[in-house]
Parts: sequence; structure tokens; C-alpha cells
Amino acid sequence: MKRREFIKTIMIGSLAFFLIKPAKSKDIFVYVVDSKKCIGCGSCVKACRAENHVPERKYRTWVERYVVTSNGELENIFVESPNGGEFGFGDLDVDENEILRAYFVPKLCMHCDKPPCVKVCPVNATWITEEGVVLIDKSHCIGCKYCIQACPYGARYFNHHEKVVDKCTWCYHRIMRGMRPACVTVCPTGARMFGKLQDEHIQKTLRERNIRILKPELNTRPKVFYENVGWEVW
Amino acid sequence: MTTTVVEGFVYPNHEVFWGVLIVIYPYFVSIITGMVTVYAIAEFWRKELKDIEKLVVISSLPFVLSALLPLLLDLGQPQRAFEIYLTPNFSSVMAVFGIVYLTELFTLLGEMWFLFRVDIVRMAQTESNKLLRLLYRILTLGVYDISEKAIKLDKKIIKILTGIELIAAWCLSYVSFLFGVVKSNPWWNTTILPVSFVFGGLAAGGAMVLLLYLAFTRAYGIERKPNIISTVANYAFYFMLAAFALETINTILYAYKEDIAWAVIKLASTELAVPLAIQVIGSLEALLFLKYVCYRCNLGKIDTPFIAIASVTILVVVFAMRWNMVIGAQLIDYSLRGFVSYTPPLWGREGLIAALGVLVAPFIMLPVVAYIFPPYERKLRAGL
Repeated sequence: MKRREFIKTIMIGSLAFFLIKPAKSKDIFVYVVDSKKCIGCGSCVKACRAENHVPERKYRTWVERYVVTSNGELENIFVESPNGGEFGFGDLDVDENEILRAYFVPKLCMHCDKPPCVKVCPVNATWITEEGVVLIDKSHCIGCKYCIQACPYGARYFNHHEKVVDKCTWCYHRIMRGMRPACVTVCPTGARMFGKLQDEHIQKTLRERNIRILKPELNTRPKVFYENVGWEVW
Repeated sequence: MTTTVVEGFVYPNHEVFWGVLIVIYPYFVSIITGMVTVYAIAEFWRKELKDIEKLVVISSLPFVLSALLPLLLDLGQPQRAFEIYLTPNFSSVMAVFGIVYLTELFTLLGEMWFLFRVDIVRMAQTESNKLLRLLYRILTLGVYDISEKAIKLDKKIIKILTGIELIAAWCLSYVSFLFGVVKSNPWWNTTILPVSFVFGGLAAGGAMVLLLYLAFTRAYGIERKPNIISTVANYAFYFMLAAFALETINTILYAYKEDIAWAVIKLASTELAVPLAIQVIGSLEALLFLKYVCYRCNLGKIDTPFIAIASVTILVVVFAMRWNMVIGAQLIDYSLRGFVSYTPPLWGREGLIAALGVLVAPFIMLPVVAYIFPPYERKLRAGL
């Protein structure tokens, strides 16, 4: 091989290495939450803790309660999530006539298509799989916590025992065996839906007009979709 | 517990993840940028600062070496820190920082070697202490040529290295991008932040040079030159003014625009009353004192207490700026509905005592570096 050809091959090879990324699988997973169906029982939070050994006071998923009231003035918004909603919610101390709307919103990692957490990890310890799941290699994480700072949804936490960052994986160990995530499995009302983008029940839901994502202005392209939530949820 | 919810709703995983150590890290980086810039000014533009060239270079080294300490202490898995070089993610500002840091360290070491090469060769031949003589012999790297031609070449190489080092130091200051790129945090997500950070750093570096100049001239019994103090103080004044103006503009813009984050930023600011007061009052005081110092120096008079107070004030103000930037922004929850308070623990790896140790580290290293690479003639020191 001549020198010129050799250099050309090396350059093309290097370009290919840096520019060509593996094609994304068409079978990406998505998650849909129907807020209307959530009763705030906290079963999902408990199941997640048991399934994934989540440390106390840390949450891979949690439930928020939104109460919007008005006594003749503009709306007042009250949000709470005592213990991540794990043990349910207490009675409201609000005049019922003043309540405009009240509902529960389960939260979890959005497994964004453009995840800021993956972009900032200095050592490539977190990445997005072909199925669209954002994972962390805990044996590689250096514990700099930069990804926690970058996540706009507060989905990541620092595991003070293992000294690394952790978060929801949509129960990757289960979904890759054809099962559903623990939180979806235990939800008594079917408020949490999980499946592949092409699945019929997912397609049916995504065709609804009131479907939305959280913090769209940040252009993170979440793969968790919400049905029946008000403007006050972000 | 270092993080406590003060008001409103916060996401259940929210904590102040980066504590006092990560305040020190950009603080050291700021000082390095400022000191290297003063050195470059001396090398390229202001010949009257030639006298402090060696002083600035040897003083930069302990800060560059210490800049890694707070990072390593803050990491959950510090033993894996080298992974930044083995499996870097080039889209991460932090990974690129690792590369810029090494560039800065090696150019600084190279610059030191060329700047002190003649001294090293002489010491290797004349030093009476056997151990030191061996050390200097090793430091010569086998090069004993101190002919005029060789020294001329050294000077050329120093100029090139200074250029690279200046770029690296300013890139180091891009550590502010590390915060600026976090689009989810409204406090960090501003275009002004990286610019005001650099100017604050330049002022802090100038102040540190002034303080070290006072200390070293006293220790070595060297007469202080008013034009050196005046030039550095003048630079520090304008850099400080720019930093203060940019920070103020940023706050006014936020307050005027009143976007969704402003309500919670306003409330969280109550938690930062002391550092914010230090930042504002200290900036004004330092600016006033620096101008007075320049005025006096131009008359040929040196007011040591005023120089010292102005310099220390700038260093405290820039620390307060870094505190507000790092801690202040983390007090706000990403739900933008509540905020937390932060009290650093006294003990532990991320505690106040450890932080104090890190802050003091460069000043412990500095006498050792100055002993091996004396910035002024040894005979003067011996005469004291």
C-alpha cells in the first residue's frame, strides 16, 4: 500500500469511527402516565424500592400531589410529595369549594432521547441503550455528581452507601426479559403504562391530544408521556 | 444533614450535592487564571513587571497542584478519577477540563524550567548541600549549556510556552462553563456567568500577586517598586470593576424579566444574605482602595496596609462570588417551587476542616517551591 493510500485509509477509518453511530433500534421503549387513574397509593414507590434496593429517603420514582385552589383570585398551586408518596397522602386541609382541580402525578427518570446527564458524564459511565433506556455503569461511575446537576427532573440521586449515582432504569433487568417494570406491574389502577413505541396500546394513547411531556422547552425529548395533567406540572 | 428544606416543594432527591470543596475548586482556578495573565502581561507587554515574573511562576505552581485536591475529595470514587483520561467523554466539560488542566500543568512546569534553567545549572555546580546538588543535577535534565545563544533560545521558548499557558489558563477558567451548560439550573444558565467568572478570576489573581509581592519582598529584603504595585493594582481594579458590573447586570436582568425562576431565586437569596453583602460591599471597598493605592503609587509612595487590605478584600469577595455561584444555585430546587438551606459539616471529607486544609495547601507548598526555585537572588536572602 502506498503512503498516500495508507493515510487516506486511516483518515476515512478515523472519520467512520467518530461519526458513524450505531443505528437506533425501532423498538424503543416508552412510558405513559395517566394522571386521572393515579390514586396516590404509593404501591409503585414501595415496589421500586423492593425491586431495586433503593436506599431510604432516595427515590427512583415518586408521586406528587397537585392541588389547585381559587377563592375568587387567580389560581394557587400547592404541590407536595411526603416521603415521595410512598406511604400515601394525608387529608387535605383546604376548603373543598375552593379546589379547582387536584390529582396525583407519578414521576421517574424520563429516559430522554437527548439526555443532558449522558452529555455531561466525564467518563462515559452513563449512556443510552439501543432500546432508549438511559443506564449507569455503577462500577465505572466516579461519583462526581455532575449528571445529578444536569438532570432537570430531579430523577438522579447520590447513593451515599455505594458512593455512586443511581436512578430509575425502567427495571432494565425485567424489561429485557419481556416483563414490565415493577412500578407498572403493581399499579392497581393501570395509571402507569409501559411498552414499545410501536405497541398498539401505546400508539392509541400517544394519538390523544392531551398527551404532553415535561419541560419541553429544555429540548431533552423525554420518553415518559403524561395524560391529563394541568399546566402546573413540569 | 447539610441540606434542609426551607420553603415550598422540592423534589425528594434534592440535596446540595456540591459543597464547600467545589467552591474552592473554581476559586483556585480563578486565582491561577489571574496569576498566569499577570505573568503574560509581564512577558509580552509591561516590561516593568519583569521583576515579578519568577515570583508569579513559582507561586502559580502550588495553586495548580492544589486545584485537583478539592475535586478528588469531592468525588465519590476518587480512585477512579484517572478514568477521565482513559475513557473520556469529549462532550463533557468536565472531561475536557482534565485535558486543559494537564496542558496548564505541563506548560507551567516547562516555563519554570526554562525560566530557572540558568539558576539550576549554577546551583548544580555550586550548591554545597549534597542532596540539593543532586536534586539540581537531576533538574538540569543533563543540559548544562548556559551560553548566550542558549539563553536567547530559552527566552524564545518561554514566550511560546507563555502563549500556550495563557490560552490554557483562560480555558481553565472555562470551568465556569461546567456550571453554565447546566440548562436546568436558572442561576447557572446565563451567558454572563462565564464572562463575569473570568473577570473575577483575573482580579483575584492580581490581588494574590500583590499579596505575594508584599510577602516575598519582605522575606527577601528587596525594595518594593511603586510602578509594579501600581500596574498590577490598576489591572486588578479594572478586572474587578468588570466582574462587579457584569454580576450586577445579571441580577438586574433577572429581576426585571421576572421569569418563573425569579420568585424562588429571590427567596433563596435570603439564605445568601451574608455572602451577597460581602460581594457587594467588598467589591465597592476593594475598588475604592485599589484606586487609592494606584494614586499613591503614582506619587511614588507605597501604602502597604492599604494594598494588603484591598488585596485580601478582593480575595474574600471572589470567594463569596464563587460561594454564591456554586452553593446559591443549588439551593434552588429544579421544581422551581422551593429551596433548601446548606450548612457545611465541620468534619469529614467534605467538611469545613478539610476545606480549610485545601485552602491552606498552596501556602504550605509555596515555601518549599520557593526554596528550590528562589524568585530572587539567594545572597540577598542570606544577608537578612
